[in-house]
Amino acid sequence: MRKLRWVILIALLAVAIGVLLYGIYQGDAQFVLENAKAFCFT
Amino acid sequence: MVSGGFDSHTLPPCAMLWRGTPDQIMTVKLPNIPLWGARLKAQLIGLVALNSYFWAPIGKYACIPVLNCYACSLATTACPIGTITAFALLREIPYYVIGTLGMIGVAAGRLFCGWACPFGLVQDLLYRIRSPKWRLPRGANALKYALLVVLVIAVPIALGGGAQKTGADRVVKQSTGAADYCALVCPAGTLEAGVPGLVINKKIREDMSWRSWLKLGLLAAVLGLMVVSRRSFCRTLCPLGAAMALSSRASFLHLSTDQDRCTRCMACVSACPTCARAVPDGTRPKEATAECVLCLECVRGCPESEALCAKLGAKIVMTSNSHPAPAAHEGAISA
Repeated sequence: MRKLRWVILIALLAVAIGVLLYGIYQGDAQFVLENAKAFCFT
Repeated sequence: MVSGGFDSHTLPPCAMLWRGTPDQIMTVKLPNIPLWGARLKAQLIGLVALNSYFWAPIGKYACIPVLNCYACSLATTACPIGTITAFALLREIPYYVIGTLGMIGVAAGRLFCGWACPFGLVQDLLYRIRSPKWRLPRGANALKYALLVVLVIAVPIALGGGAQKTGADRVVKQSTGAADYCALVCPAGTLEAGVPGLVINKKIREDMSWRSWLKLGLLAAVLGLMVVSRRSFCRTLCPLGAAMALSSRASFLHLSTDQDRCTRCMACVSACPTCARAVPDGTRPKEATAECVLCLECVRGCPESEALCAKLGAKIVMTSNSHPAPAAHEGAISA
């Protein structure tokens, strides 16, 4: 049971990193920066 | 409201969920929680680091899971909730935000909520004010999930569309007709960006609408609630807490209770600022719930040696009663 927990956690971490990298590949990071700057009123 | 018989400042209202007698509650050893402790130092460092202005050109690429409004001129990171709203306006899946929050959540759970969130610091400080303390109804916790689904995701998706990621038509503020969470509710944004804007900018003061007054009124109500109920905003109104809730149950950094050593004294339930370990029948503390912000006050408060510990993977990073509280602190609950 404990081993299964580690396997699930490692799989979740791998999926999260994969999704993050795909987001960067899509250009989301640049959009996040531009959006944050657009909201800032100064 | 907490009834008399003990000092309401030292025993959180969530302890009342335990159905012991008042005498039994009063014999619970109190955790040693100094105001200027390690967590407060970490929160102050987080406050400065997240609002140090000069990092903004690089830092605003990152969505750190803390509620720190990026409309504030000093903010150095992008607010995850505001960013998710922007992606919902585009009707696109926010892979970057999901990946960032997921990665941090799986690694460290809601550690940032307990140790770095500036709005969490505001709540912790306001709760120190002497006042009657209230216990929130358990069902109130569900409100934050509704806010996440409706005002952060559904409404922007419904009212958005046609916006572009870049160029002249890119998503800008108020593009939902001000019907999303940031525009209607977010008290962190009002406190960190709205109020300073009103103070320093005459034009913003002159252009105040009913919406501005609504948000100011909501901010006042939320600040008042923070005084009488511990971490009330995190538990009831924070959509980021709702988004990170799953990670409390599945993260490398987690709490672990040794059931053989645990005496069910409920000291951890008393210490918990979010009532994460409270159970209605009071027979045992909960292991981990969506409300746990990994502040580790329960580990610090547990009087039994090694009954409760925080683990990173299989490695113990903090264990209960490894640094016994000073004798003078015990029994500090006064009748």
